[in-house]
Amino acid sequence: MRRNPGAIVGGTVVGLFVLLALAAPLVAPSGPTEVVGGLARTPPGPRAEHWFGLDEQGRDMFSRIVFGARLSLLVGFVSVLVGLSLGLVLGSVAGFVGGRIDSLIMRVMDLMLAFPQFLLAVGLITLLGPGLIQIMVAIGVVTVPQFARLLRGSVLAQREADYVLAARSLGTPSLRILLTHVLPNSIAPVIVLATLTMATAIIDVAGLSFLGLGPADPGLPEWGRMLADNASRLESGVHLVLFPGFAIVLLVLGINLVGDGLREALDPRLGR
Amino acid sequence: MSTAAEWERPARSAIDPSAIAAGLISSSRSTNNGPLLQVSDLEVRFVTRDRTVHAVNGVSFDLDVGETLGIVGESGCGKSVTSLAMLGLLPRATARVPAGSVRFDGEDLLRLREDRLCQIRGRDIAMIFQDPMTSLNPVMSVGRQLTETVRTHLGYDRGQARDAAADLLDRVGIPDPRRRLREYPHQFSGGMRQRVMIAMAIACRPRLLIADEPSTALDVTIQAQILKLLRALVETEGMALMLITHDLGVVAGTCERTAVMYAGRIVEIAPTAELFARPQHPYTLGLLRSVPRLDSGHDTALAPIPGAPRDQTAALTGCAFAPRCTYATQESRERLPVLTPAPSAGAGHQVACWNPVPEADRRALTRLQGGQT
Amino acid sequence: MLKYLARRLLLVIPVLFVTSLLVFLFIRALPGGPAIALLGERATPEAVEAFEQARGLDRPVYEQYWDYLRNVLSGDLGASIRSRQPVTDELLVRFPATVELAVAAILFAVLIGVPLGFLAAKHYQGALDQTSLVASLIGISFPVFFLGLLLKYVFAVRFDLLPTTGRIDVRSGFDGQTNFLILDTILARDWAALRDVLAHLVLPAVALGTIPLAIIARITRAATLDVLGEDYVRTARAKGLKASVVDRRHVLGNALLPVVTVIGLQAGLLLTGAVLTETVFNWPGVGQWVVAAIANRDYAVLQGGILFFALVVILVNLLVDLSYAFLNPRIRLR
Repeated sequence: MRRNPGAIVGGTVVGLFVLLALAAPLVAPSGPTEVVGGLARTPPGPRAEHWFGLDEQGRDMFSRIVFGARLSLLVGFVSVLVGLSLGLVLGSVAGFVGGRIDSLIMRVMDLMLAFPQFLLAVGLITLLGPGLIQIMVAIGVVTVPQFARLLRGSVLAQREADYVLAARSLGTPSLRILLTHVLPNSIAPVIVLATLTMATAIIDVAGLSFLGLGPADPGLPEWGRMLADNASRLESGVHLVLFPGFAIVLLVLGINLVGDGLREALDPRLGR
Repeated sequence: MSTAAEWERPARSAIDPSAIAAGLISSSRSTNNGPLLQVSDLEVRFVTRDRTVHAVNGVSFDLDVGETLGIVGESGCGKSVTSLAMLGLLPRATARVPAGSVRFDGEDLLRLREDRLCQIRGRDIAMIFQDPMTSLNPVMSVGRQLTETVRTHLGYDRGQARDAAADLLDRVGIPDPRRRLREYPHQFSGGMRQRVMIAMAIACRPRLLIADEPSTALDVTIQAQILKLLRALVETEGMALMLITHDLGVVAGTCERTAVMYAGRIVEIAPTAELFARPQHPYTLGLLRSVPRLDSGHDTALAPIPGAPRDQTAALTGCAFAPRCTYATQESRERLPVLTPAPSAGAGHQVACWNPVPEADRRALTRLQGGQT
Repeated sequence: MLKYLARRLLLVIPVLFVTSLLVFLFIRALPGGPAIALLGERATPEAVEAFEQARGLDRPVYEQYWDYLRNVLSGDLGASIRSRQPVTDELLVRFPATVELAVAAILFAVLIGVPLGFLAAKHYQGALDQTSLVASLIGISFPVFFLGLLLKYVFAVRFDLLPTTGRIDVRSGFDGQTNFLILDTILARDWAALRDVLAHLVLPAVALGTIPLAIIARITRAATLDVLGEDYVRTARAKGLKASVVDRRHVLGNALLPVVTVIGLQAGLLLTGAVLTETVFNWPGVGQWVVAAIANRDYAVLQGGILFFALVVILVNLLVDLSYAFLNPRIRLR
């Protein structure tokens, strides 16, 4: 099953990021907003004392990137959690209850899916205003339709399964059936979707920050924000753009590889 | 409308094909003074990451000009693979042909370059397949798929090709051919689609037509029509026909000679009537016995062949049928039997068996069949 | 086919209505209320009240919606707070820029992605296949704005090869009529200007089109693999057609059907990307306009931008459905 080298590479990369994020205070030479150097028009690039160089305000880039990993992972994880829980609830209800509620829920989901995901998030942020919590909610909400659809499909497929009918005939209440029988059997595709959604969530957060719609606090070491702030500094300090940018790419690539590997491993086409 | 002249190609054989079919004239009169098709010791393997499938394990047979040969066997016995191997149509990634030769009119098809093979395919040797729905391109009109063949091989221009196509549809019994040319496969019924396939195949007047389960995917009544069409075309065109099927009934009505395949080898080959009357190989006997009859009593048990078809992932050692055979001996299990003329049978009857069916058991079968031949 | 066409076109109308309703509600839901939204935050209470009366914002919602609808249909989308210009005018000037960019990006994605996917499928699990799979994966992991910045850095900052701001050299003074600059420069036979326009178009189009390229290549590969395993391809080979002919006529024709649909579905991606790419390259299109409007709380502009995007999505979906119906004979001949 571990025949997938990509997944292993991806898993290692993600693991590395997670470790860095968790151990940030220990690993980073300085705090994310701590000024260690002077203001500079051409901030110094990578060197011995500062592996990723300094930014225009004299902050250590390596530290900022590492703390930024914390932020990105946190936001990615929470938004997916938001989307997943809401989507699970809506999907299960739609699938189990059926009828008009099902139609209504699915119509709304289809409507949401008609819009490009990122733009929907932008719209929501415009309504909610900037802020870390708002971002996590906005990105989370935008992923709800995919989870809802997935769950609904799974519930529908299993509703008529023998063991569900058996449980029903024994008088087991629907909620119990849902929680103990149906949901555990739907876990596999949900995990895959959650992983892949996390990847897009991280890109979307960076995108929002890039457009200036990110968390209001200017000190927060958000990778997308760093890209936006330093977009004009390509000549004087390209390291300020390269490091945050590739941090995003590596983390997202790692997550995508893991997601792809999971998808292959958990595919119903088991039993070669 | 096309004229007969436009259809003419230099005649390779001046012999009346129907006479050959009636067995009146020796069929060994092709340009090379030998059989039209000579397959020798053909072997085909499929190689994948985890295993190797020995699909065809040493198949040899001849086919004469204008002759109809039936190849019978269960699914997985290698009959389709044999024909695909002949034309080089096996998937390049996994198929290997480690041994054997396929001589068509003197040329070994297995050793030819791709462009020469392309000349032969569709023109000298044509093939039709089992499922006409999936075997026709859904987004191309039927007319286009027909004209493609004649334009590629015979160099017709668009007008000539369209005339030829309409004529072909007419010959295979499709009404209103001109209109039908513009239509798409999904607008035809199953039987009609198979007729279209046949039309495509005979477009360039091939000398050999290989029909791989041509009627299997069709209703029984349509089956009969298609087989009748094939027989008629064999007669008028003088082409040889290789009919591959798992259905004994099909060969009974259509083929002069029949070969029985099991586990990638031919285990018996004989003129069809002879095969049904005096089966030599236990497998053939089993096949014949397993066909239920309309006039057997209600409580007559069905007589399937015990055991299951062989798993082809290992090379053959000894007779492949031995595990399921009532007459098997130690020798059967150890030595691979070769096709040899059957001792107590008619002319042209060969069997690959160390212990052919005894006379007594054969007679029991004939009694069962009401002495039918 | 005609029936399908008619049905499909009629479907557009309710969709347009729903969209306009949603946009209307959205604007009214924005923090500060529509008066502040359209007048600006510094408006005095008297101005707000006058505005509300004049615009009839004290009237019931459905009447307001009706007014709004009438305005939109007659082309009146309000005026930008920043520039004080009518939104409609500015939209007409900006949308060709976005459309030109999007079309260039999709052309790039298709012209490279389709052959790439096709070849990868034909040489299944060969070197090209493996590398293109990896490249695809990397492609979809790259944020479009980072890619844009990277391209900018390599091609402009490091090696001064291509321009990176705007659509045409500021000093050129060329003024097109339609603002579809490629068209305009050709019409005016100003070849130098055409070259300049194309040079400006390259980087943003590549940045915008890379992710669609990765997706299109993958889909083409999958579709081609499916078709290669089909029986009718075997039949075509059995007819003695040369491999290249089989590829062209039988394989591609069938493989491209799902690909066409996917190309259409990239419209959403392109719009998203446009917003981000235009920001990176300072491209004077609708995307950049909308982003600025969000920051400036220029809600009239925002409304215009959203309506434009919605219209584009609807149109593209319509085109995709129609072209698929046309290409697939099973639907065309009903």
